[in-house]
Amino acid sequence: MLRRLVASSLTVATVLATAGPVESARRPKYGGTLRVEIGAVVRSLDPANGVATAEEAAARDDINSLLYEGRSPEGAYTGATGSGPFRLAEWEPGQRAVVVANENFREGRPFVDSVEIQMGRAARDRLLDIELDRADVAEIPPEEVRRAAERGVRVSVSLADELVAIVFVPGRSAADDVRSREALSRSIDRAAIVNFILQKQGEPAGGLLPQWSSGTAFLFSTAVDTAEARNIWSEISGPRRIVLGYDAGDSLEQAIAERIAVDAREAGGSVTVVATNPGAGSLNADARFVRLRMASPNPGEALARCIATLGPIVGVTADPAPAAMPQQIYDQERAIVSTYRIVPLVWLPRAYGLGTRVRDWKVPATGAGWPFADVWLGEGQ
Amino acid sequence: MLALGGYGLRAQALSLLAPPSAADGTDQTTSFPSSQWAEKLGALGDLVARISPPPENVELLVNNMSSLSADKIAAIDEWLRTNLASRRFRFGEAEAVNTHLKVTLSEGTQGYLIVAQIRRGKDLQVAIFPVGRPEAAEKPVGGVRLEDQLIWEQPGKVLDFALPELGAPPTLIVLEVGRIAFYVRSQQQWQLNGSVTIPPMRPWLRVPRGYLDLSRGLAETTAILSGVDCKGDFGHPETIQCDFVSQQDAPWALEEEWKLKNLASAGDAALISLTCHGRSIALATGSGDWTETDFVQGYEVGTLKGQQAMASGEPLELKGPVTALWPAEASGRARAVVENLQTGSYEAHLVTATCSQ
Repeated sequence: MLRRLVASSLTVATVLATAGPVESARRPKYGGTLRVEIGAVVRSLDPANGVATAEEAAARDDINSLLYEGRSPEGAYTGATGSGPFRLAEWEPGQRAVVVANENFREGRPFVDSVEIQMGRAARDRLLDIELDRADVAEIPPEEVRRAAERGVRVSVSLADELVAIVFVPGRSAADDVRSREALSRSIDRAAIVNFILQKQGEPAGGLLPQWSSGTAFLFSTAVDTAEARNIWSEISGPRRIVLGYDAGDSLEQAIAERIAVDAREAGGSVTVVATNPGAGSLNADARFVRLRMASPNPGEALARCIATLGPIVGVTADPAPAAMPQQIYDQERAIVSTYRIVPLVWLPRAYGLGTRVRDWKVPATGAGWPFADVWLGEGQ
Repeated sequence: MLALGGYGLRAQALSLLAPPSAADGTDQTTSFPSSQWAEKLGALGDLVARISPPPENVELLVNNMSSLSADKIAAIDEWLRTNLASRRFRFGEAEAVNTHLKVTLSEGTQGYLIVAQIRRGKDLQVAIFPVGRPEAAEKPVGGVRLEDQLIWEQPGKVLDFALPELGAPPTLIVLEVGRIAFYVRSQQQWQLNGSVTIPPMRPWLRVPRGYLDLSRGLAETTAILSGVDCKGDFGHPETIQCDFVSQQDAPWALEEEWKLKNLASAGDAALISLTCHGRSIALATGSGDWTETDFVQGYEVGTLKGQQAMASGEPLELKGPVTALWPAEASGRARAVVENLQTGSYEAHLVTATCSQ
């Protein structure tokens, strides 16, 4: 086979002879099945059906992002199911899904032939399966990242793009007192939540956008202000007790809720934490947790989607078009946060343990689903 | 957080105020702040003057939360002080001032921000001035010196690009997965002037590759894709025809072969038409995968048979993997396509190599 050196027009082309194909460590290979394990239980892939938990919603989005061509700015899937990089081949609700490569995908066939997704796997089992090479990709809770890395697991951590916050439930007396809401917000030691509960994964949140996206998050204080919280609570004549509900199946929410109760008590307030079942309908709490994944790295788009989700809860009407200028974005964000209807707590990253065969794994981009179309499988170690 | 007070930089202030040159939002000179920065800092000065009409005592504190270097922060600090002083503001200690101006240089996905917190009495006003995308890093000297010029960026995949020398107006050709796009320079911006659709003769590969071969001139240009060639007079896009071809002689295969013999690198390489100290110069990317930031490194190619090329000069750091690296038509230049991991955009860079003493 004759080959020329590609050179500029001013350089004489060199003719070299070679035998056999050229292999490169950077160039991907096709084939194989990617084995994925997640903790969430997804009961239905139909976007019209409700979900019980934020975890299920996020996992359903991740799976659907493999099956659909894309998403509109409003978040609706575009194209038919199967128009994405993969199409659904097997579906066992709540247990297992198998998707196979779409040979005619607009952006090119994925490298792997198929992806097998095991749902409802415990965090401990997921980590063990990665260590034993029984899985290629497994979700790792942010608070487990440090331990996984110490055990030698290859860990991929995204930008912190999931907001954990408290929202107050309108119509409840404790929730309708803005001073009570402000006192609770000021009493929370967000840095302690990040340092101790999340094992330094994530960032304290004071606003609705992270610093890496908006560049203005530092204008929203995340500092604990126990003295001011105590002052505010001391001025409240009525009951100061706030009932905070957390998802009974979410150990992270429980740990954060218990920490908030301790912080509030130190500031003279009273927070009672109660386990709730999000799928069970009415919530007997003044406040509850929300987890919001950013829809886009663009701060204007992300805030617009955030407002669309939170609007009905915090009583803010979304503008039809996302704000474009940083000043507008900041003003919108400030207007919502200063109501204390939503109390931002922390920004979480998405973390994954990767097996030894996984190549060209791209840290999941904000607003995008799993990057399985770009992954290829090499030789394991 | 870096807090800067009054630096002893008065002597530099005059030169910093000189109008700098800027193109495409990036500053290729060493003058800083650039015109874009100066415009926004000037607007900040206007705002402060409206809120606190001078003469007035003001306290200025400049913080950095961005990737700007300490030198640039100092230059901004000095520029602001000079600007405010020219408006008859006086700088004083905290107890003697009426207006407290805290300026934070920050950075988000949309670029740099000048965030001003202006406190007068109990009133606090926050004003935010965006300053476009981050500028290219300063280039060190020594060995093969590399300079970077960002030509173009877009959300969709760029396979290759070219800047044919046609005279005015300048033209940019961008090779995409299913399209050849032609842009002309107008009013400091590239404007789409037309495009040719490349029919999907077979499903596109996940990692499509492409190369614009302008070695025979614009009238006989070929856009080479995986298994497809599009030939014609690229000055008259309506003449362009696409057909199946063998992939055996694809330029990336030839590049790979040359690289294996001459460079110990798993990345891409391009031999550019430049010699330094009697040695040919090649450029090559790093060897990481496409999830990592990358760089372009200059190499001096050995003159002896079997002699490996030697890295020369400082590498040019880039904000994502280099997905294509080709020699450009002009001497000492290469075209690099970079997938920016921060923005997700594909960027077309022109890398210029020169020999330093």
